[in-house]
Amino acid sequence: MKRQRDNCRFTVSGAKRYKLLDLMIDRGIECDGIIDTDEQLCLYTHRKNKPYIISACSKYGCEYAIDEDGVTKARRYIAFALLHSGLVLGIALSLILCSVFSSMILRIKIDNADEQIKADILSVLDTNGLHIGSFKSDFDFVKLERELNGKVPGISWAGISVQGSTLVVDTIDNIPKPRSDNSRLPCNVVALCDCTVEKAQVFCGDLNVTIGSGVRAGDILISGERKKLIKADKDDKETEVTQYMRASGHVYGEFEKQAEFFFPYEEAVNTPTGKTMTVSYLNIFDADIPLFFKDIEGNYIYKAIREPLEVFGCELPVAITEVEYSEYVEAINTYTDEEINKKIEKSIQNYEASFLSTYEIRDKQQDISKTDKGVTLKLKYTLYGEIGEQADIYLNKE
Amino acid sequence: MKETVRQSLRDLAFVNAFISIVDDKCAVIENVSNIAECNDINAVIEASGYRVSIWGNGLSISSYENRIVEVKGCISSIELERIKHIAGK
Repeated sequence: MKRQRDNCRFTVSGAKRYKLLDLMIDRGIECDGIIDTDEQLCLYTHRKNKPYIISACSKYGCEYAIDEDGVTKARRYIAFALLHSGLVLGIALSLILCSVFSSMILRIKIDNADEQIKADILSVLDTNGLHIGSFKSDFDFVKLERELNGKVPGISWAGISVQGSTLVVDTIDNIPKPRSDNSRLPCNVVALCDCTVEKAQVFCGDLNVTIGSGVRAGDILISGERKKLIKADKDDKETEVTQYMRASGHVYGEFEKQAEFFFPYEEAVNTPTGKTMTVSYLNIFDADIPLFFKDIEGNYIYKAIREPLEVFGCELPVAITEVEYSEYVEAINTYTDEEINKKIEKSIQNYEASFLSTYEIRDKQQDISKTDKGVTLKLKYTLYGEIGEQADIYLNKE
Repeated sequence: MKETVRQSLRDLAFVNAFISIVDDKCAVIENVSNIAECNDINAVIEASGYRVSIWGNGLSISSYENRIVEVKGCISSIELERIKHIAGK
């Protein structure tokens, strides 16, 4: 009989107290800890046997006392804990986890649709040491708000609040500056670079240069400002007035452009080794819990596939992410002279196609110099094309 | 002759006073008819015509169904005495 569970303690006194034991043996009543001290018989028995013992005590004229707490509450709780150790351990573990998780940041929610802004905010937070799993008490959120306001472009205001274990970053985007329409404002046509003017077509404004003359970058080619002398009707005094217009036209000229490229003989190239490794992570909110024990060392390119759990079409914040790591090593690739020459040709073609397609190439000089480290290519072009650009005239308020 | 037959019958019917002792910590007595004494140093149990006196210290008795009694504590000696009549106290 287990003393710990639902037992009670009887203390029986009286001359015929041993008759009680005879009765118990006859009836098969289980008792424990029977001991007779100081003319008192003490015994422990289950509560269900209480009526029999009480009736026997009355029958034999014995006095009795029942101690319901024969086993103290503390011992009963200890016994319960030992018997249900799994349950108690689970509750204790849950309480500890709840208390730990409640003081941690498990999710970062950013109220902004722009992925770039989100990435910038996460980067700033990470720089300040705040990431998933950080403790809330370690951070001064006012300071972080100031950091976000100053370092994240594209937002005019950021506010941080904590809702449970979720860090909510509320943002207000920059209001885009309205683009002014300058099509009706006066302007000049100015030179983009140092050149020699060869041809001009003026639609509006006064040509400010002569054909064949040399101009410097920023010089006015077609002026949108015209000064006139106007004679008033009453007195013959002439006054100078300035007329502004929107200058337009095409000015063509010859100019020079230089470019320089360097081609090293040795270049570090990422070469895949063919070794791949697939591991899984358990995602709870934004926390990634690895479901593996091995260390991932080396350089890898990874590809992640996230499979969220769904219940009736509703996505749960729990997911399994399978990440495939492909190892690569940095190998030194050495180029031969032939390969370098091919690269030079390709680079010249790309450069001309990308930057010089709108100009006529009149002359091209290329200078190739070789060193131990690589080949330097210097290109010098003589180009012909349009050299004018409209530039607004800023008028002083008077 | 009478005694031999009686003993054989007792053996067949398993009404003997079976006493099992585990070290000096525990003694289990079966076919108990009466507990005559149970204090700290002495426990007297009547089982199947024998008076079993168990001496020791810190003794306590547990009574189970099927007339089985277990004496726990530090047992120093056990005495057996034949009695003619099983009598309660």
